[in-house]
Amino acid sequence: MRAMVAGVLAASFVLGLHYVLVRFRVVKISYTHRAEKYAAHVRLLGGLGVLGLGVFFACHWSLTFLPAQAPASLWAVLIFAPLFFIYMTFYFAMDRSVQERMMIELDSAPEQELDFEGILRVYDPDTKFRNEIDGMLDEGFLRVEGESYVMTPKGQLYARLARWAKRVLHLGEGG
Amino acid sequence: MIGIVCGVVGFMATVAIHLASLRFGRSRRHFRVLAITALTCLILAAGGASWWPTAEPLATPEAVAVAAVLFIYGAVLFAYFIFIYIVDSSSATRILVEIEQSSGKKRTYDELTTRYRLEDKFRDILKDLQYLKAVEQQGGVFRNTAKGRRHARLVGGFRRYFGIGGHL
Repeated sequence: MRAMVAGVLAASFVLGLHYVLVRFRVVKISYTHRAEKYAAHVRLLGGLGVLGLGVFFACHWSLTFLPAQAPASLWAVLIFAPLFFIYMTFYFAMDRSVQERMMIELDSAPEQELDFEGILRVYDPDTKFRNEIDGMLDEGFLRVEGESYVMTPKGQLYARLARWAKRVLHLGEGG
Repeated sequence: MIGIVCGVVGFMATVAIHLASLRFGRSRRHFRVLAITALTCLILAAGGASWWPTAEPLATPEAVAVAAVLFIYGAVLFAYFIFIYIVDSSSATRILVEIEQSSGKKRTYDELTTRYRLEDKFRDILKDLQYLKAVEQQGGVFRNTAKGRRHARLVGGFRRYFGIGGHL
């Protein structure tokens, strides 16, 4: 139990500090393209993560009044959840990633090379756009109203969360 | 200790069932299958851990507890980064935000494709792939580097074997 509470405090410390540093531009993340932006966030989170380890051990050594043992079912949930999340990330990268698709298309081309127009021919943006929308209709994020697309409450909730995160983390329009 | 074992076994069961469903199943709703499988295995893992008759003698040693929490801590930071990545780079998220920002909270297909051009996204991704040294460009032509080729074949093989990908 002690280790779990120390872990929660350390993770809250890192996530909170990352939010404050980025939100109030104490650390300004400058980039010329997207991969650089993510690399900067990874570096920042990595640094804060090491700092958080100090918080973890400090809390772990000082929270001696907490019982050492935690319920077995809680352990099962807490171990299952991150393993599953990591697997899901891997699966979605395999299934949906645009980067992977582009590399596969380049590899499958007759001369194993394509110009930009060639990429657009084998990986049609219009088809992708329609598939994205169909997916959201299917998953209940959107519904059709006349000729327009309207969000369902589920879509609205997610869109508001995403818009808030984009604003406070200065992520830009993205997509 | 039994809780950690049940969590790991539950996870392994989820992966096994999910991969089998991709390989041999007929459902096209892959995410729904994954969600139902995971939820079922999670309930069984947590239930199994709490009902295990020898739970008390199998108490979690301090060092194992610290190692397990450090793993969870790393996973939380990873999850936070993935959240940032998805919010920023996902096309579906961008489409939803475009609708949310409109005055009537609705947009037609033409309005969406005018405001959000996937051609621009594709150009950005090609720049990313060059930055990551997976793709190189010469005279307006793009080709995979050795790293990109290895990656393409690995992912392509995985996609073909499990019948996933290619739709987005």
